[in-house]
Amino acid sequence: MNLFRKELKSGIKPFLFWTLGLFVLIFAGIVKSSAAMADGQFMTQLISKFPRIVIATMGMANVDIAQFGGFYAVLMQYVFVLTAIYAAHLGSGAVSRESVDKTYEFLFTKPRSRAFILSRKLLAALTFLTAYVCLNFVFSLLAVRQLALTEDYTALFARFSLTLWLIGLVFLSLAALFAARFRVAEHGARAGNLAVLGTYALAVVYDLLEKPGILRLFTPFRYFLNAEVIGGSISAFYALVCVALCVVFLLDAFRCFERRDLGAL
Amino acid sequence: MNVYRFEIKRTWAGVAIWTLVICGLLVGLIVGALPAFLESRAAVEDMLAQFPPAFAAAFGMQMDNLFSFGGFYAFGFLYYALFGAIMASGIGLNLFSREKREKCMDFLLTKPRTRSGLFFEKLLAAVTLLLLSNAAFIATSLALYQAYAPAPLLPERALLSASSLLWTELLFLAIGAFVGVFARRVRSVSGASTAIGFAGFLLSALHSLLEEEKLRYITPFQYFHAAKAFSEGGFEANYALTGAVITLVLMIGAYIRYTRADIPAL
Repeated sequence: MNLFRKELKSGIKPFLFWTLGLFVLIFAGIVKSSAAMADGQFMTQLISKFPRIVIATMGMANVDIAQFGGFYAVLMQYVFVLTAIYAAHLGSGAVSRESVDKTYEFLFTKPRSRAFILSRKLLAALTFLTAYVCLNFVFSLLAVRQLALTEDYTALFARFSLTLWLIGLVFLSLAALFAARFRVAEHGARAGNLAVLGTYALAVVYDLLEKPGILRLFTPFRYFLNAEVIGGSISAFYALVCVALCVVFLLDAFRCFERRDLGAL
Repeated sequence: MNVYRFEIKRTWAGVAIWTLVICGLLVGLIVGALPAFLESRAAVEDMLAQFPPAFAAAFGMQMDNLFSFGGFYAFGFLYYALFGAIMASGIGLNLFSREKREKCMDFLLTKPRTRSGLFFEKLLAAVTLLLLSNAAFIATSLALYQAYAPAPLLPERALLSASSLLWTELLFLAIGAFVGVFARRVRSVSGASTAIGFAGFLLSALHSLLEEEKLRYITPFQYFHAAKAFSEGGFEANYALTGAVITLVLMIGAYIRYTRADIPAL
């Protein structure tokens, strides 16, 4: 428990910093949404006349921003990106933080196995991710109250938050795997961040293709399509894919971490 | 010039890859989608005819600007700026926190060189790389403009518009350098630069979603607006000035700190 507590303590400051970003994005987005929705119908019709590539680069594919649900979905696309970066940061930090700080000799000479230490660190990272997603839910609820809308959006927010958590898990474990695989910590972190950037680019490509087909499997950002989540369902298949990817990545991360040569850099 | 040469040698490969990605994206967008985009004008005009004249008037004014090379160029700018910002803030962070990260600050600072000399060599290396990268970007833009834009051509406006990436990148270089100099420790350059770049991206997205004018003062991607440069032949002075002032202030702040900071014992 010592280790877990210490990890929580050292992670709280960055967590607050990231939470601030989330807070600004959600509050500014939702509170001001009424203005954007007012001419939303006009915009939606207008946008539908443009070629797909323009719609995709604007991040407005397959949604109706005249509805609050559609507007929220557009906003959530950006929250997904934010969360993915934070999750990657958490994942690679859990594995290579001690190497970067050159404190690995102090920790890994303690009478605990590497797997034990890594599992506690990852558990702390998971706690932060979960707290972050819960805050997303709470912020959304608080912000939407300012709008005095008649409908109840609690279920919608809960669905989006759940998908946010699942996608965050994938990026967290992927970044942990990269950090464990690469010998140089900075290279591992870079691979994790590039994975977020690359899959986001793929998500934009996904939007601009008429029939993306198998591409969906390669970009977690499109595992849960806006239309489905707004409509009230979360793809069970892709939820399982998320969990499966997470398990595979983490198992491999543990395997590599057990065998690697710990050292500075 | 040892520091200059060293920093260039250490950084050029990453910059070259980023430049290729940005130019590739530009070519892909223009070649792949510009013709379809210009053709969609008729459909949009048809739709506008069904709406009350007030709407159409508010929007119709911009039709010529929107359905042009410049209008389309600006659509992609969000993404060039995202990649450029990650690259530029990465360069700034990397160069100005290198000794701090590798815990060899004392090795560098005991050499017979003034701190301000070191700072300027590093800065010069960073600016050289950005200029080279942008030379490639601007050349690509102008070539595409020659090939795809309908007459009459306005090359000087295209040049100004393409240069908005350079100004944006210089701003992010200053942000990166500032963070690199002031942060107590930099754990991961790529992590911090991705966060900075995406912060700019998210602010820009938020701005275009909400269309709130005041928000633009904190939206670095929109200080130097590519579409405006194309349609009006200049940046909007107040935003461009904000960007320039922020860049200078951050750079001066980083300089003061770099030349005066106490170097912690290891």
